[in-house]
Amino acid sequence: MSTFFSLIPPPGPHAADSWQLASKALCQKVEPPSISYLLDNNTPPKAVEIPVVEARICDLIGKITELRKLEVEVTVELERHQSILSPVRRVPRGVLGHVFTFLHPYEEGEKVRNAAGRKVFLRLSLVCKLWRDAALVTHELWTGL
Amino acid sequence: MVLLLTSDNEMFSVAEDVIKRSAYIKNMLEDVGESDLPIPLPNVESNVLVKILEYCEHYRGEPLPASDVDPAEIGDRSLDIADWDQKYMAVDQEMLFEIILAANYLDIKSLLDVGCKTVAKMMKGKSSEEIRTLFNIANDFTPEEEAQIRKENAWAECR
Repeated sequence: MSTFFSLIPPPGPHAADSWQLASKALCQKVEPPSISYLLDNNTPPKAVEIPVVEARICDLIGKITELRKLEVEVTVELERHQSILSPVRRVPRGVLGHVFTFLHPYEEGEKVRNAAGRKVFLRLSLVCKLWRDAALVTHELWTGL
Repeated sequence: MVLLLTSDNEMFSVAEDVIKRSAYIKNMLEDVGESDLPIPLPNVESNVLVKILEYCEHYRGEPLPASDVDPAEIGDRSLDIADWDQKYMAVDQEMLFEIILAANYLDIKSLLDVGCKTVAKMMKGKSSEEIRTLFNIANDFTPEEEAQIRKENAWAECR
């Protein structure tokens, strides 16, 4: 394969002409050899074609990486939008409170009155504003703590 | 037979003793008496009603809960769920909450309890952040509000 330096002749009486030739060659866009014919047969690539194939593979791997990143971003966005329609948002406070009542530790039918029991409700109160309201209005949760 | 009309305009013909597990329908039938008109259920879609009827059908003939007892006062608070109920509740999260909403609307206490217990079991031992992730709930507290709640509840950390 010709390179820029191989086109440059050693200095001599016709150096000016040679420089003209070299600059002309540089201005012409050197197209990489086409490798598309290799996709449809089983011929081994020529030495000059291997770097072209390798560059194309790199390019495709880069595109897949970009698409995977985009897929993750779009999936997160999709889930955020789907959550808007989720029925969990429509559960009334009273029903949420009813769910919460099942989370208090009980032993032999008696409510356990210790920090572990209270921490359950702190965790629930920190989920979101609706859940905090639900926990606060459910008297059953707080009696006997 | 009782006619039920769902929010997506599907008509269901259901045996009275099956649907009477719903205190809402039971009271309506007692108030209105015999009628050929369907009972509209604007808050229940047909796919959810199918699931609700499966539950009512399974417990057909079982005694109904007493209507004059405060729901907060009765029932055990354990997270134990009967085998059949566990299998019945093995649905996706969306259907699980739809069943809970429908059980609440139709006033089927035993089903509401099973649904609430199922959700409570999913939440048990999880942090606030893990619960948010589990149910795809947005954290709508500002960092200042969150700090304030923690401060107000500092007493809970004490023995």
